Amino acid sequence: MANESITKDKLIVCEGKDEINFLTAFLKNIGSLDGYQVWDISGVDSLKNKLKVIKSLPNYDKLNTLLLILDSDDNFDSRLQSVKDILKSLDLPYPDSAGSYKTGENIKVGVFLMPGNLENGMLEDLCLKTVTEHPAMSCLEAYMACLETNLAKKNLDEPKDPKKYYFPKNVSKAKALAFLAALHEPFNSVGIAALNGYWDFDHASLDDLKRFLQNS
Amino acid sequence: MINSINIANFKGLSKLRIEDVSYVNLIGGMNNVGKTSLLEALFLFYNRYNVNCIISLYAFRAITALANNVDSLWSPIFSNFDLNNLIEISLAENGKSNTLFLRINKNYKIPVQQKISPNIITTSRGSRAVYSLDFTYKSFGEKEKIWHHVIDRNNIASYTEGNIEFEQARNAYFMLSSVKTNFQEDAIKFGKLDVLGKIGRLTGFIRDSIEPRLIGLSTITLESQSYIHAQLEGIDRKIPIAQMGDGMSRLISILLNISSNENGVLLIDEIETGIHYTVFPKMWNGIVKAAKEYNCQIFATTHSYECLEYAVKGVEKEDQDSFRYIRLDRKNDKIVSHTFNFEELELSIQKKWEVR
Repeated sequence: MANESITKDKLIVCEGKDEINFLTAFLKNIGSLDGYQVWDISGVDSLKNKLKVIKSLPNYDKLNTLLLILDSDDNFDSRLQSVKDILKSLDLPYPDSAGSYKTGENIKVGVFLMPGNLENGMLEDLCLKTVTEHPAMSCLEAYMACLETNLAKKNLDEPKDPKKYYFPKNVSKAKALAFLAALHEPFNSVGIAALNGYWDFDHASLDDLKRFLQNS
Repeated sequence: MINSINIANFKGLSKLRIEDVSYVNLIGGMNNVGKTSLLEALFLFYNRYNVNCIISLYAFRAITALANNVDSLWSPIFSNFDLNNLIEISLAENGKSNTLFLRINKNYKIPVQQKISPNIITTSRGSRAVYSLDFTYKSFGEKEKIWHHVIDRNNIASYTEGNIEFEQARNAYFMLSSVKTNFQEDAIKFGKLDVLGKIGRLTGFIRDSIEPRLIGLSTITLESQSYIHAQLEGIDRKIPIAQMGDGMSRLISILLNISSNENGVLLIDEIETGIHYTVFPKMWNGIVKAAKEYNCQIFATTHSYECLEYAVKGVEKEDQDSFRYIRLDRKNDKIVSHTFNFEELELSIQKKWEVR
């Protein structure tokens, strides 16, 4: 496979393959796919190094807009602050709040933290918000409640006891996969489900993301 | 060790700054961006006291015949061929800044010496003004040195300004991109190392990095020429390295040049020439280890993606901090550099992001 070069004037960096597939499908849905390149940076570890490398790639100077679409994970405020600190340390413009942009001398930079709306969470949470009206959702809530009752909760620093059955450590991923398992055609990733039209891209929960992309 | 480089008005490098240089520096970038000019600038800096330093630059480019005049000899080293430019090559070495300036002096008067008695020599200035290529060397904390190159009828003459003492500059050697290794020159270098009892270390490097069957190396004179021969495990007779293939002889030549250039600088144009990509990991492992062992700083140009890809695979963890990839880009009229440390290059290769 040929190496990827910067060829468009808007570059979205996101955390993984699921995000690429989701954003590709969503951009297509809102009719904006042509204007963007979407790259996966494999998580936010070493985000500073990854952005420094992108800044050093050929054709970086031709970019007009750099969009960071990342997960809030378990602390929206600290994720936003750390992203802002990293952008600042790389002499890149940084917006004050998530879902917005800052225009610098050479480039405009936007930050969106999934699932949006200043909430903690990730892509999977945003996907599930689009299908709250789906009949499988009530089954899903009951299923999760059942797991919560019957499985042990493990603290991060607690050693794993092989005799115990633990509650999923990533509830959002567990819920999303359980939902996908309930579909007529089952999928094992939220990204592939997005490409196949199983999330409701017209749902109001995606308005923030739509606005963010359209303002780029 | 060079830590950073500043160049102005040298050939196509009207302005270039390179930061964060290490032991082994691989230089990439598009054609005609000035990769070889960067090597030439470093060569010129370290060979500044050699009267043939400018002529050597033409030889590297295989230009063998030149008219003996200012325009053909000197204007090509100035940006835009403009003799009014001031060339500056400035290196920060171990935190100390040393700068070489070159400029054209249109009004130089050659000193004329006259012997009045066996002990008295007077110096006066000639009456006719000539063009001179003026060299000025400023080393931090030391008095600046000035000398002039003047084109004579048959050669280039050098005149110093006052009584200056030329200190010993670091040795800088330029390896051309041509596939063919200079076997005679290599044999001479090998002989010099042999005299100093340093062949054992070199053999170890070649064995560890390229040819595990290698038992030993020696120079053998056949007819009137000397050649380096290798003794390989399982083969009864010694083999001339010239017969071991272009890639192998070039790799041995690179390691030989590192080991015979202790505390020096090795400049390699198109390092990948003649070398099969499968050998690159071993090559890089050997080169970085040898560069550190002999304290020989390396600047090598490349066009090859495999060369980068396999450097990431070949350089061992303990040596990764000694490796840099530096890409030169043309931005409007300037050349800008981007330095990737090992971790950053590795990330780009893993993500398949185009870094060349």
